[in-house]
Parts: sequence; C-alpha cells; structure tokens
Amino acid sequence: MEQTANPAATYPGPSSARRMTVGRFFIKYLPFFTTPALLAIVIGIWQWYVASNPNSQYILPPPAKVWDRLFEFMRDPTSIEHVGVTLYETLVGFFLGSVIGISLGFIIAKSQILERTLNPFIIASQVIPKVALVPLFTFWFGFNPTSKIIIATLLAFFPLLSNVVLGIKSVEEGKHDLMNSLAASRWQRFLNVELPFSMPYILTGMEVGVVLALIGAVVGEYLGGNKGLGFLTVYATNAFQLDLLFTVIIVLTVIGFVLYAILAGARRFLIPWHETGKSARREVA
Amino acid sequence: MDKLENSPPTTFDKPLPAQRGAKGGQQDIVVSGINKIYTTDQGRVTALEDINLTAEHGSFISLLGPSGCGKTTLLRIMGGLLHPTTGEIMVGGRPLYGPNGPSKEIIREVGFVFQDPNLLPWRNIQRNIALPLELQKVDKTERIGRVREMLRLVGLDATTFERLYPRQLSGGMRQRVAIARALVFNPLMLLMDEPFGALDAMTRENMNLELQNIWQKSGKTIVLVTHSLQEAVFLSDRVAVLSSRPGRLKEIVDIDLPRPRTRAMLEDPKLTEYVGYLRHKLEEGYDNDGTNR
Repeated sequence: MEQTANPAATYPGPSSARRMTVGRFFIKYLPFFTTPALLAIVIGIWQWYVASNPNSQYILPPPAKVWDRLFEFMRDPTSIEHVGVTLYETLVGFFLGSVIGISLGFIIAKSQILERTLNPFIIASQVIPKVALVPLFTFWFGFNPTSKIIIATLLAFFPLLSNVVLGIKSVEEGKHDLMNSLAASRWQRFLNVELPFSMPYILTGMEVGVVLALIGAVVGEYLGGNKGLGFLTVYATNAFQLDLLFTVIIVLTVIGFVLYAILAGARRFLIPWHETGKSARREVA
Repeated sequence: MDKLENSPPTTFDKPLPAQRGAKGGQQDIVVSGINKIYTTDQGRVTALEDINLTAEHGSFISLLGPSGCGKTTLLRIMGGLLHPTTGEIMVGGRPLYGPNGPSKEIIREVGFVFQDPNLLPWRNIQRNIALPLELQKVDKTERIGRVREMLRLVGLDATTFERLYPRQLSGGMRQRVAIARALVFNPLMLLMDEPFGALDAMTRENMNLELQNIWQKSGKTIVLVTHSLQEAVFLSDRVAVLSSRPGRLKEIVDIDLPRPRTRAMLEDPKLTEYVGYLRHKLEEGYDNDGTNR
C-alpha cells in the first residue's frame, strides 16, 4: 500500500522534536554561560579602573555604588512613577504606531494609486529628523505625555508600515491562483492568505517598532518634560548624580530588553508554523 | 497493490467509467473557439488558436504538448483563472465567463490542482482541506465530516494526518492533500496542471495509480495537463495533443485500454504503442534541431 501503510514511522508528528546532538545543545545554551561571564569581566574592568584612578569617581561611579543606587531607585515610589510615565508613553505610542503602520501598510499594498500618492509624504515623515519636531510638539501640547506619545508613534509606525507592505507583496503567485480557483472574495483572501502570510513580517516590524517607540518617548522627555526616565537623565546629569544616571540607563536597557523579548517570544505562539517561530534564535535589529 | 479492492467504501462510490459512459453523455465542459492573444512589446503573440474540446461526464482527458504550447494557458482558461481573448467555456451547460468576468458560482464547479500543492503552512491538514468549505460558509460539523471523507478518498489516514502541518508531509502526500482540497466542495470536475511534475519517478507512478483510484471512486471528470507521454496514456480515456506556437489542437487520441489499469500494464505492448504514436505526434511539433522554437 505504498506510503499509507505506516506514515507515522516515516513522518514525525508535531510533538517529536529533532534529535538534540551535543553540538546543538552546546550552541543553544552557550549564551547562558557567556553572557554572565562577559558581564562579570566588564564589571571587573570597571571596578579595577575606578579603584586605580581615585579621581575618576566624578566621571565614573564604582559598580557597587550604582548597584546600591539601583536598589534605592526601585524602592522609591517617585522613581517608579517616572518608570510608569515612560512605559505609558512608549506603549501607547507603540500601539498607535502599530495600528497606523499596519492599516496604512495594508492599504498601500493593495492600492497602487494610494501608494504613489502617499509615498512622498511617508518618506518625508521618515527623512525629517524627528528630534527637531520635539520642541514644536512640546510647544503645542505642553510638558504632558501627549507630545512624547506623538514622537513615539511617529518613530514606531514606519518599520511596521514597510514590513506589512513587504509581507503582502511577498505572497506567492500560487496562493493567489489558489484563492482565485476557489472564487474567494477580496476580504476572504485578506483574512486567509495575506494576513497570516504577513504575520512574520508584522512581528519583525513590531520588534523594531517597540524599541523605536521607547527611544521616541525618552528623547521627548529629554528635550521637554518634567517626568519620565528621559527627564531623569537630564536631572541626574545636571545634579552631578552619575550613579543615578547609570541607574536610569540600566533601567532603560532592561525595559527595552523586556519589551523586545515579549514580542520575540510571541512568535512561538502566533506563528509556530514559521521558521522564525520555531526557535528563539533571532537577529537583533 | 491494487487499491480498488481493499479500499474502504466511501459515499463517493459511483459506477465505473464503462457503465457511466453508457448512462452518461452529459458534457461537463465545452470549450468552443478559444483564442488567446498576448500583447507584448514585440507585438501580438497568439498563444492559443481556435481550440474546441468537450469532456463527457466522468471521463479522463489529458492535454499533451511540447513546452510552451499553451496547455497550461488552456487549463487556466478552463478553470476561470485567465480570460480568453475570444471564445466560450460552458461548464455544466452554463457559461463560465460572463460580461463581468468569470462567474464565482461556475468557478466553484471546478476543482483546480496546481503543480505546487499550494498548501497554507499555517493551517494543519484538516484545515487546509476545509478551506474551500470555509470560504463557502459550510458549517463546522459538516466540514469535519467532509474532510474525513476526502482523506479516506485520497488514501490518508485521518487520525494520523488531520493534525499534521504541511511541512511534515512528503511531496506526494502534500499533493494528495491538494487533491482532497480540490474535491472537498464536490465540484463537477477536476483540472490538474502537471500535478506530479515535481515528484520522483516511483512516487509519480504510485500517484498515477492513486489518481486513477480517486477518479473511479469519485466519478469526477478530470482534465490533466502533463508532459509525460506514459502518464497521459496510462490515465486517460482521451489524449488531446497540442502543437506549438500558435497552440492548436492537433489530434485527439482515444486510448482503448481496459480499466482499471494496473502497474503491470505499464509494459503492455498496446500501451507502449500508444506512447510511441504520441511521441511521433509530438516530434512533429519540434524543429529538426530538437528545439521547439
């Protein structure tokens, strides 16, 4: 009965993983050892430099002092409020940027007229140094989070837009033939082929977008604000509190890392069928 | 090896072609006066010229021709995927192309199988086969039943395969799933565009036997585009030979071999004779230097 006799023996089911060789095991868990080791080396050099140059503490606080300050920071409700403001601006900006980027991307990918019409404006919105707009937005919307959300949105929407357009345009001709042969409507084609096909592209756009939204929020606060981690960096520098500045930088790094990791992890649940959804191995944008 | 005897019964069990021929006579598809002209930078290219062809209900027809002769173009026109320049296609007695393009209702009388199985990687096998039913808004319980019926028809075990994803299947199995998907909405006929072209020789032979089996059990009319002479003879009631540039219908050869055809018949002198005759016909389509320019 040719292949039908015992297909399970020849074709692995979804649960049976590939055999884990020693080499693959080594590569997979390598970062769990190298990351702490490299961090320890960097902190060691840092400590050694501070210890051997007594005057350097004005420009570089010792690691232990930063560590203490970090704990102090996390126990202080005011600092947590600053973190909250930055997170709020980042997430709202990222959300708005995603909605605008994704919907605009789909519209542009489906309509050549709109693509030709809107392209100059979209490119203009990207080539303009957005930092130069911050004072204007601050002037219009004040020191409140709105101006920062707008900057974050403006930064986050573009990678989503370009990835969605790329995704939709990458749908193979055969898939369109299939949907034509089944007399699918435009909406059915969108839901059953174009949208799922674009998901890996959308997620890649989101990974880049969320980091850009964080940058937008921080730069916004930095140039015109009285709350948030961006404001705190300016404050710490002006007050010569370098340990606080280092703390804020560490906190920002952790926030960016966590946001990125959430989206990278979402791949496994949203697109398990895709190559990039199968392993956590990702290039950092 | 003969699947016909030990295959489980399906609701698709229909009389064998010989009996059907006696009963039938209904024309599933009528191709009349089809011309297809492409306009390119170099001018107008006639891809198809005055093609007339009919397929009786339950018959198996192959389209054979040198590469570039427009057989795929013809099949796509028959499937509602490509508008002919002039001419008409009637499916089940109704025109496929109306004034506003191909009719969705008529397209759904035709199942199309491509050379690439075109399975959707994010859907498991069950949901891949169910796709046409979802598009036609068939309810879920019925969908599941129909998919199981189709898996049985194409010789795949439902409990093993339903939950697998396309990437876990071999090329031959993917194509079986594609056939199941093309039949699940119970179209009048099946159009197949070199469905086994990407398979190795042995798998291809197995798939030919399997296709004959599916055809006999389902009772569908099948039009197959192929460039394999042996495949065309082995499977068909009639083989339509096309010539190249412009694509014209050169000859229709009736294949008078008993059914069901078995693996042993591949070496039957009568089959070999048909293959030789068709090769001779095809060679006329090529120039002396062996190209088909």
